[in-house]
Amino acid sequence: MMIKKISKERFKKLFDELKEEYNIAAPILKDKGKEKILEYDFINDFDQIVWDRQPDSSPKNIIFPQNSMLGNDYKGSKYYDDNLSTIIMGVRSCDIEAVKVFDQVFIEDDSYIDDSYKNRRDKTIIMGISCAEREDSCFCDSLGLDPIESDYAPVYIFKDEDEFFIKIKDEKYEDLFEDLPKGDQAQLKALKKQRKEEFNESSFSLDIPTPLPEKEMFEADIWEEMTEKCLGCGVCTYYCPTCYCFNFFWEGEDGESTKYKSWDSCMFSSYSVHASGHNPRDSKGKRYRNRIMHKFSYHPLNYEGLACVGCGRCIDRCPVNLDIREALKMTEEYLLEEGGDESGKD
Amino acid sequence: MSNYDSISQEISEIAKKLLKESKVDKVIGFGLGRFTKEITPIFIKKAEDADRLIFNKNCEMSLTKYLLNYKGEKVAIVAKPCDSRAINAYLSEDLIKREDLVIIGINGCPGIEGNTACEECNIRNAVICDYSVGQEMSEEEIQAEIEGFEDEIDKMNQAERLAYFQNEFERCTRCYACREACYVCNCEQCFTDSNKPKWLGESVKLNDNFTYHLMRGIHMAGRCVNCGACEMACPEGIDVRAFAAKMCSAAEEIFDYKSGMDPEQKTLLSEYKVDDSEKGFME
Amino acid sequence: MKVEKTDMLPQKAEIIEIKQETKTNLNIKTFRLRFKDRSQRDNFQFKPGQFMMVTVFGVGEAPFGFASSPTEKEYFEFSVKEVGLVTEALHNLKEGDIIGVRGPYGNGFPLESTEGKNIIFIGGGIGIAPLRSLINYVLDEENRHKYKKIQLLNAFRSPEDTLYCDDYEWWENTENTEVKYTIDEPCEGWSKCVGFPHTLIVEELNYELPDTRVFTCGPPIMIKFVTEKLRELGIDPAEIITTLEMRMSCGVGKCGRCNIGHYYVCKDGPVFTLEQLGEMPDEY
Repeated sequence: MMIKKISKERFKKLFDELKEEYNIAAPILKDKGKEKILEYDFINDFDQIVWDRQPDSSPKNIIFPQNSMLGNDYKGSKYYDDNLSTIIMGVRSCDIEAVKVFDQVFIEDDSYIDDSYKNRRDKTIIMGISCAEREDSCFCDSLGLDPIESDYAPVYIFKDEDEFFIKIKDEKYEDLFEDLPKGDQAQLKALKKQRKEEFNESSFSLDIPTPLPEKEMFEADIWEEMTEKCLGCGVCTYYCPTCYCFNFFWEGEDGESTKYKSWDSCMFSSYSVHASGHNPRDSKGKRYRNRIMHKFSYHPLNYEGLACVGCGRCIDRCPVNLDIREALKMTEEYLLEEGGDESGKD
Repeated sequence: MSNYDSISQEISEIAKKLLKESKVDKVIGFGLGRFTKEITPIFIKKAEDADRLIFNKNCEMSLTKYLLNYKGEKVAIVAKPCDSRAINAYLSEDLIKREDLVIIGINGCPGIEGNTACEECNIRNAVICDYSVGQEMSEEEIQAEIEGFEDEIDKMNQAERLAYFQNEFERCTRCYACREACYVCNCEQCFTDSNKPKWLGESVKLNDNFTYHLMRGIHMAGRCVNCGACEMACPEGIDVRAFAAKMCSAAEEIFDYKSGMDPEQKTLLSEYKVDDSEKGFME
Repeated sequence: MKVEKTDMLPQKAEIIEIKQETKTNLNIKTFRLRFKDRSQRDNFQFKPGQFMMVTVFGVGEAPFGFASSPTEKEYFEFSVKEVGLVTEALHNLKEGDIIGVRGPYGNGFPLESTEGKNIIFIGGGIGIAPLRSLINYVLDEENRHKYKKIQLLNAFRSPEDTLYCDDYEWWENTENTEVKYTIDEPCEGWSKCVGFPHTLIVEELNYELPDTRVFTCGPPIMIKFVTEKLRELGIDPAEIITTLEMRMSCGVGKCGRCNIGHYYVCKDGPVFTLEQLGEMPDEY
């Protein structure tokens, strides 16, 4: 482990050095019609980076592009160079944990290793950043994550006003930062302690054990009511840092056709329709059940940890503000009530 | 123009009364989430919960589409003037039954923040309702509100328009929030989901995005009530309303047709008159 | 099993024969295929009950279970009912055309644990396709001795809907093997059984407990009634085996659409025992 402390100017210089050898992606403000949205993209200019709030989207599109020709890489930016590895700067605990979910599914599960994901991931260095304050909708700490520091990123940034601590946890990357002035470990520790104390408490807490009971919750009668207001669009899944459902499709005529891979969404009614027309998930409630259960039951049963990282983007981006925290509270209330019935029988 | 707080209060009182007297099974309206202070559609079933109903500048969703989920049930709905037009359109297409429905219509709608449709809206009073809340706005007041409005896209030349829409639709992720938020989009199967015939490529590329928005736009002719719910739903801030709004103004300009003004009104495309204008045809 | 390379792109296979199985009610064709590449042909292995993702280039990809037995070394077969985009495109192809295949995927039927048992096959319509792969495997002269009595109950809608007629003679003439055929409603000229398969189990089949294993596949409603009947007759749910169908894209448990609870039909199935299904959410 190595700790460095640098000024903004020095960081800028470091950025310019790094960009000679890496593609660099970071959160930047992008024009979206009337609004500006903070999103990850490949950049050339350090000053574009916005450090101080949670980006509106996760870096999912960088490691798992919405569209890709099979085996091919991200080609969405003029600053992206196929031959270089990528550094994603300023990734928060929630999004780092989401990368871990992807790694579990696409690399660590040796029943099948997704080669194109693995190649991209092997060439990606994540530089995390410590959160300084809670956004309205985020609740990563309620799910057991630490917004101040995640263990899964090999390099971590702690921004303190105009200065930056850089903590290099993976020896592999020490060379990149060697020339920087050393940081004081005690000082960083104090900063982290202060952050932790100042971090306001989440109004939400997950008070039920996970994985959620698979069959019991599947049969629960709460899902249709939970999704009464759901429109059935794909926003929650597309902006979710852990949603990875995909589809293949072909374009071009026979002989010269190309196979593509693109994101799909379990919230689309067409997602699980059989060729015969039969649809095992033929209502919004059933589709949302699959989404919630995948994150809080199926993923934890198949892998480890939840497939929800509490980033709150599904809440922020939902056109009708359907709130996953409310869904979890309804689940909790259902289980407590049903559990009560059970113990009553005993 | 009415003020939000008094509208909220009136809505709550009416809802409470309707639920107490069992006139309806539920009231569809706007309220706050349990954890956020964001506006969200709420479905009130008990009189004691009616106080949760509010109306403010962020009540951007069109609630009308929810009516399709409650066929055969008695429901009350809070309707902005644009939403009341959508209700008329559903009634005219026989998608819902008038007798099952209690409409709490907003008069003198003070508009929705960030919704550009409100800037050009000249229907500021509910066009159909059982209870009205707020204060009716006069024609003069309405005109004063929209005076000076100019359609920026109308002023562009063809090349500028193409560039404008390319820039907009490039951002589209095809999450279909615009479609799902729109009261018009209630087809059992959208053309986007059809694979026989296949109207639309699956890739999220500019040409397919363009195809999607143009085809959806064309379907809006004589149906769109210019509520702006599509635009408000878009997570990428795309001007998805533009085509539909153009269809609205064209219908008005060419056929003197404004959708959803009357429950008996036939839809624009289901009627043909021999002397209909053929503006644009073979031009 | 580690799959290290990007194998989501299909391998080329040639259609060497197309057999029109039925046409009147349902349009079903059986495609006989072999890999273009000789070494691929020689190295190709699969188990009855597994499936392949089949690509019609430029159109799309869909999963099909093997309808032929792995004991046939020179080719493999799929039976395809025309229902949607990909199946329609497949039906429009002709002998000599090239399609894409990748796989095999899925768990396949349990072969070893079935040895030494009586076997009953109850299949309905196109559902007989995956069973045929196993039937032809166990009836193969190399394997027949490993199993005790084998009984087949093949159900079709009508005489026009019968599949795999060329196999019947062989099936019927294999020792200690009994084959029954049934159609939904009486029909002139039909002298075999009539009625839905679950109504025929008691009369037509010898279910010697406990050493009997039942493989059943067909329309969901048939499976429901058949399995209910079998359980009623006291057959252990762990000995009742079926295959599930789900929409799939990847075939390796990643793309998301075929899950039933935390199981992926493509990876953990498509073959499940009734006992396993009982533990899973009812989402199929």
